[in-house]
Amino acid sequence: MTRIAALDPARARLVNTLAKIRGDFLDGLFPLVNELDYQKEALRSPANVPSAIESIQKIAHKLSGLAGSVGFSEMGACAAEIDIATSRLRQRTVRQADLDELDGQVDKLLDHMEAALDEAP
Amino acid sequence: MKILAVDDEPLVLRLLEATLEGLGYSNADFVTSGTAALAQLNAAQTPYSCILLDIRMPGMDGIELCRAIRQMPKYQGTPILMLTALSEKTYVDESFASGATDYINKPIDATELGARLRVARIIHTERERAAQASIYGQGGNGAGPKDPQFDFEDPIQIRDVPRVVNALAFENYLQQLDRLGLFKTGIIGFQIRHADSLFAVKSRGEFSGILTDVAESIFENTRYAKPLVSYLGSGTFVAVVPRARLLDRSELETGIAMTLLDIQLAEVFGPEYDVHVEVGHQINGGMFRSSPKAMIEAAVASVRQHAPGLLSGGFASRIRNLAS
Repeated sequence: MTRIAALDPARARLVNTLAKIRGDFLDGLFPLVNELDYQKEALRSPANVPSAIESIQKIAHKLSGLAGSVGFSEMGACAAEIDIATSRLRQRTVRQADLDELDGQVDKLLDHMEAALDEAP
Repeated sequence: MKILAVDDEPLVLRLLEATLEGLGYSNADFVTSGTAALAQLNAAQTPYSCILLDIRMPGMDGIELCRAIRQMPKYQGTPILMLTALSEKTYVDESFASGATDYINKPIDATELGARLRVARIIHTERERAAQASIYGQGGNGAGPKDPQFDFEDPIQIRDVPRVVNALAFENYLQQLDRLGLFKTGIIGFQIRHADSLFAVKSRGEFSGILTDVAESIFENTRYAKPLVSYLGSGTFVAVVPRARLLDRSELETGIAMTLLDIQLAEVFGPEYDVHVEVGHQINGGMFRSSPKAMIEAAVASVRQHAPGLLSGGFASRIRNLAS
């Protein structure tokens, strides 16, 4: 019979803490999906573009720093791309082609977020 | 080792806490803003020995916070590690120019964090030892009780000069550049002529004052290129500048000499000295062959014709060797 060695207490505590942090990350993901969806729509109205880009960047920045650490590295990488792209867009005139590209990136990030939520218990 | 971590995202702080505990660092405090960090640092009975800062935070960001921390006398030499999800060069440059010692990418990798903290611990230990030595070990060289203690080869920290960082931060800055980043970079060496003689006849405090004036002069004459300057010990400085900004050696030498003269005229109570600074050729990064260490050595060799291998025994390398 295969026996699984018990983790030492410190290691077991770390594993439990990380699992709890991952759970809290997933709990906080659902409102972010809604917010991101809302801001993605806001990109369609020229008057709302600057604030929508800023809000999208905030979400992307938060996810790029966290997602990879709790086991969602693709989501983190996708968020990092958006973080960098929106950072650049905030420093120059935004063209329609930029918005189209950002829209595609946000769609991809939403897919990753929804997939993570699907696997949540 | 006592650590302070600052990040506006509570989940990142919880992750850091768990990771630090896993690495054996349980003496740590966590705050979510720059203002809270400054209050915590001011109130601490025992100073923190290492500080981790998120770069992008609402209100006071990590770069501004780093600058403010460096203004606090007890934290002028404390290792500060910047944390960020962004890998854009402007943030990295600004972090180092604001006094950061090193840079860690998010998501945080426990192995990478552990390695950086080992280096921070060694710096902290060396600083503690140096502080003890300056209090108790005055030796027989006639130095006053408040005269700092250091050897000629030591890459001492130059304070209060913009864009001047310590030797370790300088090397760390170059290490994090990718191949293209290195290609876009040039390094220039600066050497104080007869620095060893100056060291022999001046007190440590006076020599340190001369180094600060030279650093100021180098900065003033290269500031338009937004350099990062560092003192490597033995009277040798290096500066990183953009490759495209090819600086004229003789113009630089003249400019530095003039600035040093201006500084001496302005400093009524400053040390009197006759200092000349030589400037080496700008060493530009190659697309395929450059390593940061080789570039620094080439820049140093260019200005000090008979001093190859200076960095092999240097402080930054010594720290890295101890940590690895």
